[in-house]
Amino acid sequence: MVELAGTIKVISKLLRDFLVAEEYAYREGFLQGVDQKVKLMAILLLIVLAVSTQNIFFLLLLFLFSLAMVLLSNISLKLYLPRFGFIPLFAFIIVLPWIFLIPGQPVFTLLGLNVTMPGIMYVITFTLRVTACVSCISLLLFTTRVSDLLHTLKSLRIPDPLVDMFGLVYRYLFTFLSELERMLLGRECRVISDQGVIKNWRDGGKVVGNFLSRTFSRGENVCKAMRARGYDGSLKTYSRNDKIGIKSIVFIAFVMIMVGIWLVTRL
Amino acid sequence: MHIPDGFLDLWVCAVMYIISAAVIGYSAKKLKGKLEAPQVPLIGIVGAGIFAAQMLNWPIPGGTSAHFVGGAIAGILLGPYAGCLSMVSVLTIQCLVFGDGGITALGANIFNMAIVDVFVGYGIFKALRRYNQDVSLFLAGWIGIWLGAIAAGVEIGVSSIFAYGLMTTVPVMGIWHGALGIIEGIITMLAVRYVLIKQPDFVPLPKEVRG
Amino acid sequence: MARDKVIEARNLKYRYPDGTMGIEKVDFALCRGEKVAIIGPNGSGKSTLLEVLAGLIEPTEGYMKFFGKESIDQYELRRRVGIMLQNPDDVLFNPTVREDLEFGPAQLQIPKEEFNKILEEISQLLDLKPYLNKPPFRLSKGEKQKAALGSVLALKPDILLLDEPFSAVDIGTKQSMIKYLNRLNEGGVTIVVTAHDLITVPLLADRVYLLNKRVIAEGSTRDILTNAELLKNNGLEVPPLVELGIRLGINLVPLTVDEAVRRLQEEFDKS
Repeated sequence: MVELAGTIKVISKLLRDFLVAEEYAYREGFLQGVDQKVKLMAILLLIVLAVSTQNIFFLLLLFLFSLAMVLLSNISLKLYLPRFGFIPLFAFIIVLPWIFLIPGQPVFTLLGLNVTMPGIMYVITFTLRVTACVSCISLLLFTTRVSDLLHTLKSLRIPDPLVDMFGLVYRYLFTFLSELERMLLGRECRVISDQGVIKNWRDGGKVVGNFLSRTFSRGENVCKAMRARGYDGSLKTYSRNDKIGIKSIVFIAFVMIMVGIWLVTRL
Repeated sequence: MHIPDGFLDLWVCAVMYIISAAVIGYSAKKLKGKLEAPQVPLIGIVGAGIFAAQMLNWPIPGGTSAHFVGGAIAGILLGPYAGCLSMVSVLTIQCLVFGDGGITALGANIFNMAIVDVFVGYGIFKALRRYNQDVSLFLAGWIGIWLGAIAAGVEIGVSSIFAYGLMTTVPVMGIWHGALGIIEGIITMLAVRYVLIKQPDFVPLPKEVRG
Repeated sequence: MARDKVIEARNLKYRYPDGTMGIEKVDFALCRGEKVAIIGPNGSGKSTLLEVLAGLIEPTEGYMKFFGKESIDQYELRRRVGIMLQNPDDVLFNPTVREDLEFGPAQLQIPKEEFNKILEEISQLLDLKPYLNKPPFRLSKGEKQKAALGSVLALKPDILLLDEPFSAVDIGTKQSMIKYLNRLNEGGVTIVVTAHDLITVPLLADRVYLLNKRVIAEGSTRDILTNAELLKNNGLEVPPLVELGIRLGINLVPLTVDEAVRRLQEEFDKS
């Protein structure tokens, strides 16, 4: 059966993380002022560079670069780092055995196994790469309003209906999360005794099934509301004229420097 | 099961992006014209519902807990093409708004959870439903996610950036998610059965679309 | 002179796909500039009737005329008849309130300059300025209701159909919304609201339909709301003021507090 306390904890964490990030997206700051299209493409480019290099120096620099952007954008590092910290940790633990597994010059012996220099280098490089990547993508989360992001995707030629679906996922996720919470609490109040494993699971299935049928009827109502305002199958929006400002140009320059360093490390 | 950035080689990312884009394009083409206009938003909204339901905590013996992915459910309830687009929306928002899964790995994550899970789950349900609906639902949920996990194992296994090879990644992902997948199977069975019992003529989308 | 009828419906019937009856044998007429309330208990088909009147769902049987025309094209219908569904979470489906206000005009391809004027006007009147860039799920219920109203008004409809518009708003918002709707009406907008709570009806409607799958009664707000028997028989709560008036034996039963004060003062003066 669904565990209520655990579920509420998961939902709360998701909400808190999102709301903290969104709060910053609405504030003034360097990256908040960069053109969305430029920002998205640049961050994608930086991550691609990180994925295609073995150079520890570049990866470290990229991570520091992302932290500099965090500070320039008035984001608190104390809130920024914990947001994704578990991912590098997870990556580190997974690849840790390779300090023994890669053959090379033994540095010291641990539990009767040789820890090699190439092994250590690999583990550090891998962890650093994951860290730099996740830090770069978090820049996007902390400095971009979702509605702007969706607009950017459209302007990048992602088909409109698909982006509209993304928008609906974002819009209704929070409504559904609180609905789900209410349903679980309501159920918890009615169930008095421990009713055995099978009954418990069946109940859990009911909650999910019931919840999903509700999403369907919600879907029908929203379709009705859209039709009522003239929707006929293809969404139309007003064009926006985004200007590339000075912040965008400065950011492009920063990113170009990173690209330059990447090229130098490849020589 | 969301692969972060830094686990996959660039060429693997590119290949997975191309495959996923092709399947998304094909699904969209399949839906075009067959879908009544107002049903397009339904796909997104059901996606939001599945995303929310993924937050449910299912305790498993040993003190940890599992979450389900829901690709098979999407495929069965919406049909494979709409189900695929629904899961694509979920995964994209998870990546770009919630930081779940990498941006270079998005193609791969879509392939594992919005394509393999959805189409395999749907196919199993379709093929076995006539024998026993409950068993077909259970297997759809279980094998869908299991094959999705194995696909993830292959993707990271062939990547040289990740030191473990196929001989490690595939068995690890296969065994771990083969076990966890049982929960996915049970939830798929119970939840879909509930929807079908409550609304036996449940047709959120036209029949031709659901296949 | 009879005013021109903007919606005319005869013998409407709507049966849901699952077979349950929504409405039956409903005759309905709406004249330009009217303020009409459709009252009835839960499940009486109020929402269904409203959706049929908006042309959102096709009646199973019956005959309808919009603006005196037998058939009307979708564009004109959508532009001239605005409907606000009951749940504002269904109405506000965009990532931000501003985009929700934009939605209707953008679909009907109203020029952007014209929309900008509408946006300015509506957000001013409904006090929406602080929420424009916020996602709807961050709004309180009352704020959502106002934003939903704004997004329907953005099309500048001639006829406004409102399904239980005050179900979730606080007193202050309710009063300002009523004031605003009456002002719209003075400007020529025809208004239909549904309600199961009758307290707001006298403030907003001149004429009332009492619905319980079919039209049970139709008449002036005074005639219907002071007929305690009729209301009770149809599962509606008699407004306390009406109850008071009837029990006190006041000649002209009051419908609003202002009216009640006046009547009571008259009674005191007499004695």
